[in-house]
Amino acid sequence: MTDVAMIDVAMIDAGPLLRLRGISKRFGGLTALEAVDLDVARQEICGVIGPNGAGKSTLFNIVAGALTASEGEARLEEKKISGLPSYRVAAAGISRAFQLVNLFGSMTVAENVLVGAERHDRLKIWQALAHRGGFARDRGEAVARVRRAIELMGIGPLAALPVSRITYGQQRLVATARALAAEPRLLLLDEPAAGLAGPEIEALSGAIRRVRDAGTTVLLVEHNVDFVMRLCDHVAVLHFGRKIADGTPEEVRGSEAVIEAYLGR
Amino acid sequence: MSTPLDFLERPAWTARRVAIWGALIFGLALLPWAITNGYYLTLATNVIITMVLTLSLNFTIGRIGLFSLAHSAFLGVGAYLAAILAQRHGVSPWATLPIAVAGSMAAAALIGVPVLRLRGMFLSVATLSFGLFAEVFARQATDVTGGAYGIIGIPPLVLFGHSLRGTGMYELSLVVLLVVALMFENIRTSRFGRAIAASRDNEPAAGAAGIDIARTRLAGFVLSAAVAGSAGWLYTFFHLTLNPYVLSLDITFVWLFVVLVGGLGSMRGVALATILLGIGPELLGFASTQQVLISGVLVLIVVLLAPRGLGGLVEDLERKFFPAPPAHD
Repeated sequence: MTDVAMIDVAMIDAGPLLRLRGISKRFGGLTALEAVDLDVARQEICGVIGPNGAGKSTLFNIVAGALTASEGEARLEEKKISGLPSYRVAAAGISRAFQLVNLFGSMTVAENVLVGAERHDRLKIWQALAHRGGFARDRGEAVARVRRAIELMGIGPLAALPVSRITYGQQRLVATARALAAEPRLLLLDEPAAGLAGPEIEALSGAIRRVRDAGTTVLLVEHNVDFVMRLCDHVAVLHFGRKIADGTPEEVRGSEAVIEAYLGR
Repeated sequence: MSTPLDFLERPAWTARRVAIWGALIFGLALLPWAITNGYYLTLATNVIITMVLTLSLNFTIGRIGLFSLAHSAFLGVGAYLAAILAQRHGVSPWATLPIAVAGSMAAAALIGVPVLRLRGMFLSVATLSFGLFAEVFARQATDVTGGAYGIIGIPPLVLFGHSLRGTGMYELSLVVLLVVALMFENIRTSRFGRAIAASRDNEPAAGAAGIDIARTRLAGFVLSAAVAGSAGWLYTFFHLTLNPYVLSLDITFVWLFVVLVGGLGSMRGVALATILLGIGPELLGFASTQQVLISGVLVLIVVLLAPRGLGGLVEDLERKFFPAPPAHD
């Protein structure tokens, strides 16, 4: 039995965590993505960059289950996730933070993160009505995840505040903490640095590295090339819906196609 | 460093809250011995039964965020099922409770599946049509519902050989109200309750957090209908007659006003508004037709002066006189 378990682990560890194959997306006559392949390895920070309209957000939304690919397949390890609705993608182990801050406005910071930390696969109505049936245990486990996420993002002092009372930069950290609190295998960040000032970006980079070091794989799409080049282990570049480069930041920085796409020639 | 998150795990029922609720319930339970006038006892029972319904409506509108106008129909299904089974088919009045509740839940599930896909005004119109349909059905399906004359001679509930009238029905209604209030209060601080609030606050984010929004809303809606059905059951065995008036739009709108005056989502506010709007017009000697008008004026005043309703006012007062201890120090 031990042998079988070991073989399983070895097999799973062999491949990438996220594997995209031939992902295309068309909106009417417009092709937003054309046959994109991408492998995201375990415990790496992978950044997808590209000029405006390159298809970054579309790719991101397909992985998160917010959009359905016209063609191609996305797998998290062996599980096919393309075509699943967002809540099932979340249940499979992928959490996302949004580009625009999408917090639950009636709640405090900690409650927002708590909703992210809780397992919503079963309703458990009786538990809700009577506060019985594992109520305290489930909540205790979720609160432990909330604590880890809040500390990784460095927002402990804000925990008890209503989200309406904190700054935009803080709200972004809360949104990331909420996604992180699910303790996903893959954390998706949509333009995490957008709208943040210099010191906030530094704090964010530190937080994302801590997340990676704690064992979570991170996939982010981002406008800020500098931020991505300094933070990511692996960078892919999209241009007009096609992947034109894929490698380490150094490899990508030296790529002719990338220089051409960004500077124009 | 360890972030203080005790407030997330604070017991929902602190000693202070249990004491406040206990005193309130004790006082309410003794009320029949304080008011000797039968008319006032009837009024008090009516207010309590109405409160069961308005708390259910408050949950649907304020918490789930669905502007439902179908709650009169859910109450009606429970009331009519209880009346028909007890009066025509000799079913024990007690045994009609689970049937009435299940019937209202089934009705909610039936209309909920297609209707909950709609948003805002469209949802309201769809639930309104269901409410209107229920009233027309009650008026026209004479064989089943007794038509406009309704059903009379409904046997009363019997407990230990005594018919439940007056004080007995008051106390029973109070027990149902208590169970319902505890239930809603518990939901508010549960994962299910947070999933409902999250779906109301922000759908894309709720989906990304792994919440199946459609399923969560439907469960909340059906639960709320179950409570409305239990209010209908109480209504039937309180009045012992039943006619389609219970399904009329007038009543639906009075309930709606109560929830708006009370403040969406605030149980305390809605309970307070139910008492004010239930007793006020009666004591001042207005006829029921004028009640809608008075309620309408009250809604206007509240919307202008206290946008968060009575619940918001109570909260502000509480904060002023009993400031909460800082979350962490």
